[in-house]
Amino acid sequence: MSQLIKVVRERFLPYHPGITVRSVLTPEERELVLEGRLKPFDRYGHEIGLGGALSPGSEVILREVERG
Amino acid sequence: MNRSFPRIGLCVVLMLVCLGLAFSAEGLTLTILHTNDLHAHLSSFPDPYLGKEAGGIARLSTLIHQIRRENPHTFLLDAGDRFSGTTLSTLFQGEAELIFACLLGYDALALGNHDFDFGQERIRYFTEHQSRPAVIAANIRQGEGGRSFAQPFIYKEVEGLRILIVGLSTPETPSATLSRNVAGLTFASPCESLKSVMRQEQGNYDLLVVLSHLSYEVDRALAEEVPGIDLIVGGHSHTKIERPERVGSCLIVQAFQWGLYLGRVDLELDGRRIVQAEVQLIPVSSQVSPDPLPASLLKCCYEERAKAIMEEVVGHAPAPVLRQEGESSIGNLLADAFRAFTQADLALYNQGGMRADIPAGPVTMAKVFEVMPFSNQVMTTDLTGQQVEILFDYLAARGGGDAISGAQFRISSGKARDILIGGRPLQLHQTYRVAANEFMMAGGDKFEVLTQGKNVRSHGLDRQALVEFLKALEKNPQKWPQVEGRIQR
Repeated sequence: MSQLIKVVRERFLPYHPGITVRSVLTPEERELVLEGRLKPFDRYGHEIGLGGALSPGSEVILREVERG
Repeated sequence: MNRSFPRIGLCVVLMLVCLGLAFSAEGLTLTILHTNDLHAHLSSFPDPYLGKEAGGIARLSTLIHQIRRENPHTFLLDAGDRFSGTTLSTLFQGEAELIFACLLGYDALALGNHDFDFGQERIRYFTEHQSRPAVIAANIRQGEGGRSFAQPFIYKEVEGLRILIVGLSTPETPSATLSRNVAGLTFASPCESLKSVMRQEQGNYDLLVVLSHLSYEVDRALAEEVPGIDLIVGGHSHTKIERPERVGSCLIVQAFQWGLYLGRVDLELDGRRIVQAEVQLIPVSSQVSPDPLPASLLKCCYEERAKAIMEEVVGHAPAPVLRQEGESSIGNLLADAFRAFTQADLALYNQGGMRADIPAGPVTMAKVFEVMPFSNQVMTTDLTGQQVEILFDYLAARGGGDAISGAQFRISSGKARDILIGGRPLQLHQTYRVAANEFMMAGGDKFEVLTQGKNVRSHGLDRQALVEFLKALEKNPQKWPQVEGRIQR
């Protein structure tokens, strides 16, 4: 498994234990997630929480929330 | 599903069936309710999707009782990380989380990495007694090859159906909490530990449930590597699994985070065979009425006490501790707190993370939360002297507003000059241990060189570091950090 984490916009980060979704997003992205305007997803299409632990090879994908 | 029943047992069962006296899992529906990564979200809180008062232990309790009334064959499991993440957890060191786990009647809890955040003593009662909830962990041992830290597994029985529930914890736990919290413990391979339990218990169980704090990615790999698991109830990655996910015949579930959803799995059984599995996440929204008993206990035993504790004075500032352009007294305080907490050679604190000033006089817990509202982990990494030089050049390029501790330097033409670490010139081939918050360690604010270090470790919450440092300063007030020329511009 790759020891990298693929983050939004094709950015790659080295994996280390304890790295979370929150810590790989920019402060602006985190704010938008907290406001409910963006949602992070994994590579299987499941939503993941800000505090979620990442694994080697993980991907974090940000999607805009559709407003009904 | 384990099919290796001893022959004699099979004969007895057949006889009983013939006599019409047998246990029968035929037509049985087993309900497994599950939570994970509650991170001490005991009180309701606003959520952009579930309303102003989402989650919370009192609303969870209402749903759990309702489902138990519908189906008495219901189990309640938690896949770890009940501790850490809210004021209540910090103030009461995990006590409230455990009390409410008992009150809600969890059958079993897996141990997450954050369940060690308040030390082994906090969970020892549950690991050393046959308690309910049972704390289960098959891959944590006391020393190399020593006895299990907790029960590796439990059995549950429903109408003759024997369900083996095995707990697994992330082997990265020692890198994700203070070393003193896991002193004397070894974390073995989850996969090998599970295989070992399966060999040992072969023939004794009908259904195998793994209660895992390993993350969804690792759960999938585990299901591929170890055939025979019926269900993995997972945690750690805070994954919201809303549809049935299978790897082979193994069903994998996880219920997002913070108690915003209650996971529910309904297994319809024909004998010992699962004929249908339904998976759902039940929103713990504002629409759910809070259960009055846990609601009132939470209010009077914890929330009201917390209000009082937030007024607790944890230090006294001899002079205003302020954010300012360039080197600041608040930055020096925070960086010094990190260095003292981790015993690192040097510590950093990013300017954007300094969120409030501290006026002269008593410093309350509320003020600590105001200064550090993010609940970041304090982390360390080992950098070479060359990497430290790159780091200091970057600090210089940012203008010198970030804080440092254990070091000093001068900014000239946008570069760092005369770098001293511990009062001695920087040695390019030496290794230095550097402390910073998890945001910076992941390359936040473009501190990319921090992502290139080795031996990365988490040590605990940033606020814990600050409170411990403020308390230490009470004994040595002359050591209160000031602007003292650590960064000369």
